[in-house]
Amino acid sequence: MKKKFFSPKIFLLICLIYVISIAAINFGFINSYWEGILKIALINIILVVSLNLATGILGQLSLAHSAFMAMGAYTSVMITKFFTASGWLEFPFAVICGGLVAMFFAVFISYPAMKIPGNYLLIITLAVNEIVRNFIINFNIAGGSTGCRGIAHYSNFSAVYIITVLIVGFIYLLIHSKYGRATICISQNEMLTKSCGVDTFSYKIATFSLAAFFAGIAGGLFAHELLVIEPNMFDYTYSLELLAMVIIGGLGSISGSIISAVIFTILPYTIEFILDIKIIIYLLAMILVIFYMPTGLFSDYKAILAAIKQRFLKKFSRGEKS
Amino acid sequence: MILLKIDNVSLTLDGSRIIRNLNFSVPQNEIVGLIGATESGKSSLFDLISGVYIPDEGKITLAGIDITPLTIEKLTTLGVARTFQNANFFSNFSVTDNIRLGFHNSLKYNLFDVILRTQKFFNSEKEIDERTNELISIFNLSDYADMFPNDIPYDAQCRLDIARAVATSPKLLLLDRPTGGLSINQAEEFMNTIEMVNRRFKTAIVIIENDLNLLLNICSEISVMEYGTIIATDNPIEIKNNQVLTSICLGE
Amino acid sequence: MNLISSIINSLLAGGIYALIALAFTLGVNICSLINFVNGELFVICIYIINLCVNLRIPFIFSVIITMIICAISNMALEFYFYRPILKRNKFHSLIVSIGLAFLIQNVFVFIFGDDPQNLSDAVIGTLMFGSIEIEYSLFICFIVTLALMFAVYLLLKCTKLGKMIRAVSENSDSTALMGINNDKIILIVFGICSILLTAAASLFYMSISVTDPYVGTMIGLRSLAAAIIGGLGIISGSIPESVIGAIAGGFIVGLIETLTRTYISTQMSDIAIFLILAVYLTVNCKKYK
Repeated sequence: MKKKFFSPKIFLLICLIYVISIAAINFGFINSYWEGILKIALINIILVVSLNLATGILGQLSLAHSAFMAMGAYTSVMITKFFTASGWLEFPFAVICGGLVAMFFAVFISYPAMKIPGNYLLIITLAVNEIVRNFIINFNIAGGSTGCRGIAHYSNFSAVYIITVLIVGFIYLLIHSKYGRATICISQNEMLTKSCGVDTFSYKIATFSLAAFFAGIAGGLFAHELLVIEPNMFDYTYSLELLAMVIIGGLGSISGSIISAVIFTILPYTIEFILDIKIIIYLLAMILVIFYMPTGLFSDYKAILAAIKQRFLKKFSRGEKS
Repeated sequence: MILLKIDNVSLTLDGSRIIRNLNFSVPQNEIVGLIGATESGKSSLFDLISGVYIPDEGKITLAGIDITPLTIEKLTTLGVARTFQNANFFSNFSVTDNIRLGFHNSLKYNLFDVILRTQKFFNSEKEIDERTNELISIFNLSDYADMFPNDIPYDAQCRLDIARAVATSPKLLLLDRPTGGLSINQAEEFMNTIEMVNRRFKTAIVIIENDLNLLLNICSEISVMEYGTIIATDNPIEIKNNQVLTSICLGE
Repeated sequence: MNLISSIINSLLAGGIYALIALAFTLGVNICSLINFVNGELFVICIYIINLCVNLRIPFIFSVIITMIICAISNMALEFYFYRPILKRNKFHSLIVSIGLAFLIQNVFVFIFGDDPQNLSDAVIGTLMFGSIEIEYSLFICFIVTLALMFAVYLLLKCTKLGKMIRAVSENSDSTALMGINNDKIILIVFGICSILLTAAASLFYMSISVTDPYVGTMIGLRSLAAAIIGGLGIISGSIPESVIGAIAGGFIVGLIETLTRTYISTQMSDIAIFLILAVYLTVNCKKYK
């Protein structure tokens, strides 16, 4: 069981959120439209946290996350359409296979890029997006450009929630160990990290592939939630949005990634008019954050909690005075 | 007992022969000096030993094991540690965390221990915490333990560098101009620190230094390098008295 | 015959990739920054040239006007965005670079729409070389690319400005100490890059009749691959030689693209280019230490 053993407070918080959400959904407080949005938010949490693993922790900019998602989505859809076993069997199997396909591909593309210091991975990942999309369209995979319909609705809220918690917990535990520390060091000073006895090449490939594995799983969950997938859903625009979410949340900060994933998923649905220029706003915000607050807006959740507390207390004291 | 033996190695980089037919050996638990004019290949020799480059010909053995084709990280695991000219550190980590990183290979847990947070994980981390604190006090870095390396004085940065190298439990420590940038007093004190490392941790040390006088007191032998090969090895007094050799080192 | 005409046709794509690859190479050498905006500036130049020609301005003047606009934009970009970030953190500069590139693309699409545009013909006609018929525009493309390559090469190797550019590329700390205004030199190099981008845009304009705002991404990406194959990351290489490398890389990528497009399929051309890039990086990884 991959849960956070550290603090019982966080464990309780996770359970509490789960219970509240499930109750709200079952008693109709949250209709199915918003339930879908919550599930997409959870999937985005997986994507943003795993991208943060590759970008913030490992220090390699990657725009291939939507391509990994696409691989996971299409692989899992092909498996669930091909087999007619019960959902409990084939769904986890399909999703994990999706993740594995994405992972193998990640090893393949990162092998040449990681041998060399510098950020050549970014260029290769930009190309990968286009190549994967073209591959799906031209080899008519699962419907090709017309897309794939009639996907079984396996992604219920509980499944998505539990998987998200497991993945985020896994990444959190990994970062707070010798593996995470070594990976952060690789991004700062690779030669010195080698001198500490760390096999940097293996670590780089392993971290990047792990991030791709989780992106593939997210893709599988995504496909079985939306029930319809097309190659155009997985273009580099989505990768850019995820990158913007990572940076605004804070490079290397898991809590920041969670908060920014939730906010940026729910925001377009509350402020309808920004859907057209969503990408422009995200990119602009990303550039502004890099310039003026490079550690990210939401990376210091303790400070945010403290600020909220202060506001709360101020409101009460002002109320008493008047 | 010879710890490190270099047999007839040569290295060509970018068309020029940097190391030519070099023979070198380091006895166990001894401090050896390496001097020579600039560009005579001293740092390149360290590069060869520590795995940055692989020699074109020749053999390097460490305690009988052939280490010629091994990578930097493998060599660190086998016990070869190296510092670079100008103190090298991780600027976004505190001094304590910098030293802790040297203990990476001493942390004997695997991925399952990390995820399941077993007792082994916590015990390993605690043990390393204690060993890190021990090193911090040995190298007089207690005042700077929670500060960042960019904010501490230069001689403390040099001590940090050597502390991190010692954390990897080396059998052989290669120090490349460790006193560069230090004042005379700080340099002499640093030489005492090096001697302490040799005594306490039973580590063989090779020091590249430009100032022969600093090496006189602590080295058991000094080798002189010129044009990529070792031209003389003797005890420090003889080297110092040899006019020819000292003028070579001064580049005349 | 088919093979030879394919090769000759690849000169067009090769020339465009070569010029943009050279712009990337100069940018990386002078300030260690991969300027992803190059691809988008290229597209904007095409649109500006189109606009000018539609306004009945002669082609040459359209190109000159575009060159000036492009140079001002590129230099403003360097001054306001890249300079402060590069001083702080190289990793963040990469994020800003790619963010700006896609931001510019999306703003452009938002304002002007993404319908395909018809580009008016600027140059028509063919030349005969023996029994091979080459389009006039292709020929100009090849000549212009080679001419610019020589111009930049001679500039870097023989002029005083070139020496200063090479010095700043190798060691900007020392040049600052010697009284060279690094920032001014970087601005000048970005200006030279704009000239190259505008030249590439005008070549594209002359030869291709329909375009849309999204071509910049893939052309920029392929030019970047060309620059890397030409030896972009090799820090120990000398700058004038990397000019030739970038141009050669551009023509190689153009050749690969045309040959795979003709003999295998259009989609494989992308995969072929990046496969070759991956193989190149793996094989040459020793040099990048």
